[in-house]
Amino acid sequence: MRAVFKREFKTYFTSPIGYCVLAIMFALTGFFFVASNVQYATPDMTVVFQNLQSYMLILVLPVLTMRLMSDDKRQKTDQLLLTAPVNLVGIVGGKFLAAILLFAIGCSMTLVCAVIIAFQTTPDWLVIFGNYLGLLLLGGMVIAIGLLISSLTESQFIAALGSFLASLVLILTDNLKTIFDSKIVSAVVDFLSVNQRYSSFAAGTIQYDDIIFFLSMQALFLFLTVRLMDRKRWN
Amino acid sequence: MSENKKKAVRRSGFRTNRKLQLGATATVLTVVVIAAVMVFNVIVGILYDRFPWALDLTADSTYTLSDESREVAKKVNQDLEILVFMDEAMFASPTTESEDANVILRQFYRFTQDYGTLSGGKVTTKYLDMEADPTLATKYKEYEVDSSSILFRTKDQYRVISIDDLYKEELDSTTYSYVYSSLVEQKLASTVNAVCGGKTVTLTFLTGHGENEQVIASMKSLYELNGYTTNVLNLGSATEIDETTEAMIIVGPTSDYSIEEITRLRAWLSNDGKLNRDLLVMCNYLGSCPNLYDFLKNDYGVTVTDNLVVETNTDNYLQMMGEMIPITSIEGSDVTPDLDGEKVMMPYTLELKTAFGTDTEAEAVTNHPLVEFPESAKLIAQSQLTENTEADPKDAEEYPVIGMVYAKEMRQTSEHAGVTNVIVSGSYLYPITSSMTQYKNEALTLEPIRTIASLGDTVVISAKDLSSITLSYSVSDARAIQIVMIAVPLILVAISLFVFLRRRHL
Repeated sequence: MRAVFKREFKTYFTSPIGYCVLAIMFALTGFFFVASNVQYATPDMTVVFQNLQSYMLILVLPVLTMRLMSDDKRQKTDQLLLTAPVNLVGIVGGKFLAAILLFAIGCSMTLVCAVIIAFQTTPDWLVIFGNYLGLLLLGGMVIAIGLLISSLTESQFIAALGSFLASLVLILTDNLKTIFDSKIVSAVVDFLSVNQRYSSFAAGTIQYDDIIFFLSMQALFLFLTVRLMDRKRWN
Repeated sequence: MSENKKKAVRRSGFRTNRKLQLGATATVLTVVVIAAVMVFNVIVGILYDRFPWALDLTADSTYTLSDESREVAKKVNQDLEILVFMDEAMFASPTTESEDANVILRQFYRFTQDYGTLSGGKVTTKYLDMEADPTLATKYKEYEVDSSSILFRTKDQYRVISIDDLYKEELDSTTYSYVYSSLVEQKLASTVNAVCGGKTVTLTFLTGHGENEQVIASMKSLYELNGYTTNVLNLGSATEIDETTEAMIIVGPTSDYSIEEITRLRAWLSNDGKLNRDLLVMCNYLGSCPNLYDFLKNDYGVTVTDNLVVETNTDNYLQMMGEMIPITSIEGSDVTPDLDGEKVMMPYTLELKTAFGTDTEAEAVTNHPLVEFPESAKLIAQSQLTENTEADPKDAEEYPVIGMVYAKEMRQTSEHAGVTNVIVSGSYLYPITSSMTQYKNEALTLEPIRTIASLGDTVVISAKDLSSITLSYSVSDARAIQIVMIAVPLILVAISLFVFLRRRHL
C-alpha cells in the first residue's frame, strides 16, 4: 500500500492535475473567505466551510478522482498492477489515501484563513477543526465513490462526469423530500443526506452517527472497488 | 465424438460452472456487505436517537444544556409531548440567511433531544409541518396553534409558545447593530416546569399612574421566561384581583395613588391577616406620590426622600449614552442571597431612609438595605431637576446612602404565621439599564422576586448572547489578503503549466 500511495501522490505533483486541484481549492477558499469574513469583518467561518462543501463536491473531487483508476486502464498499466503480487486492498487503499491527502492539503487553506483571523481575535479553533474534520470525512466518502466510478471506465472524462453526477445526486438528495411527499422517502433521505450530516460539523458539534456514516460509506465504496478489481483480475 | 473432443467439452463446462459459482458468491458477498453496512448505519441512527451524545466544540458550549436545564429535564415525572408545527429539517439542518437564527434553531433541536434522553424518554418531540398539512390547524384547534407554534402538553396541562419566543433581539447602542440572544434554554426550562405541574404564580403590574411601559414590558418578559404568569391591573378600576397573584409591582409611577387605592392595596397585602403577599415599588425621581410614599413609611418604615443620588467618584459611575450612571454593590440579604457584593448600575435613584432595624426577633417589621451608595455619593434635591436650576450636589445626612430596601413584616398568631415582603427601590430604570454581564441588573430584577414569590424549582438561566466580535480590516490589510488569495492559486496554475510543458514530450 505504501508503494502505491507514494507513487500516486508523486504522480499528482509530476502532472498538472495536483497543482490544478490545489489551485481550485485555494481559489475557492480564498474567494469565500474574502467575500464573507473580510467583507463582513466576522471571525465566523461557517459560510466558508458550507460553500466549500458544495463546490468541493461538484468541482474539485471529480477532477481529483477522475484519473485514479481510469488512467491505469488507459495506459494498460492496470495489467501490471493486477498481476503484481500486491494485495488489491493495498492498491485501492494506496490510491485512496493519496487522493485524500491531496484533498486535505487543499482544505488546509481554511486553516491559513483562520490564522489570518487570529491576528485580530482568537478564532474558535475547535469549531474550525471540527469543520475541517467534517470536510475530510465527506470528501473521503466522495473520493471513494469517485474511485469506484474511475475503475469502471478508462476515459477520464467519463469518470469525472460520473463523479460529478454522483456528487450532484448527493447534494440534491434533500430535494426529494419536497418532490415526493412520503414518510418512507423522508426517512431514506434523512438517512442518506450528506448535507444534514455535514451540517452538524458546520455547527460545531461532532455526532458519532455522522462519523460512523461517513467512514462506513468510505469503506463500502472502497470494498466495491476492490470487488470490481478482483473480478477483472480473474476475467 | 472422439475422446479428446469429449474431454474438451467437459473441461469447458466445468470452467463455466466454476465461473458461475465464483460470480454468484462474489455477488452474494457484495449484496450482503452493502446490506450489512446499511443495517449497521440504521442501528447506529436508532442508537443516536436514544443516546444523542455529541461533542460540542463551540467556545461557549452553545449546544450543551446547562446544569440547571439538565436538572429540570431529569425532574420531569410525567409524559410530556412537544409538538413543533414546522418542518423538522428547518431545525435539524437550518439554512436561513442569518447564522444567529441557524444557531437558535439547531439549539432547539439538540436541546429537545437532550431533554428526551435526560428525562428517560418522558419528553418526546414531534415535528408536524403545518405548511405541508394545513389540516393540523383544525386537528389541534383547541390549542389555537399556527405554523409558528410549539405546543408543550401533558395529560393535564399545556402551554403554547411561538418560535419568536426562542430569541431576543436588542439594538446595540454603541454599534447600532442588532444583537441576538438565544432564549431557547430558558424557554424550554420554564415551559417544561410550568406544564409538568409547576406552581402557577402570578405577578401583577399595577398601572394607571404613569408607570413606565418599557420597563414593565422588559420585566414581564423576564419573569415569564422564568415561569411566572404576569398580568396588569388598574387598582382603581379593577373589580377583582387574580387570586393566584402573589406579588404586585409598581414601576415608576409619575402620579399618585388615591387613598382608596392605597386602602385596597393595604387590604390585599394584609390578606385578612394571613399576609404571605408581596409588593415591589420602584420609585420615579420625576414622580410625585405622597399617598404611596406615606403608605410605605407608615406601614413598612421606608421613607422615600426627594433627593437624587449622584456619584462623584469616577470609579463609581459609568458614562453611557451621555449619562453618568452610578455603580454600586448589592448587599446580601434573604432576598439577595447570591448577590452579595455584586455590582449593579442604579440610574436616577432616589435616596431611601429606614425607620426599623434588622432584628426580626425584636420587631414585627424590619428593614434590610439591598443597595447602598458609599461616601462618594452626593445628593441633588429633586426640585433642582424639575425646576431646571443648576444642580448642587450635597453630602447626605448619613452614609451609606440607601438606594433599595427590603421590608419584612412577620406576623404570628395561634392560627396563622405569615410574612409580607415589600421591596422599595429608589430607581425604576435598573431592570433595563444594563445587559453587560459584569453588572447584575437582571439578577437584581429577578432574584428578589424568585425568593419572595417562589415557584419552587424556577431556574435562572442567562440568555446566550450570539453576537460575535466584529473584526476590522484596514484597506491595506484587505487588499493584501485579496492579493494573497489570488496570487497563490495563480502560482499553482503557473507551476502546473510548467510541469505540463516539461513533461509533454515524455
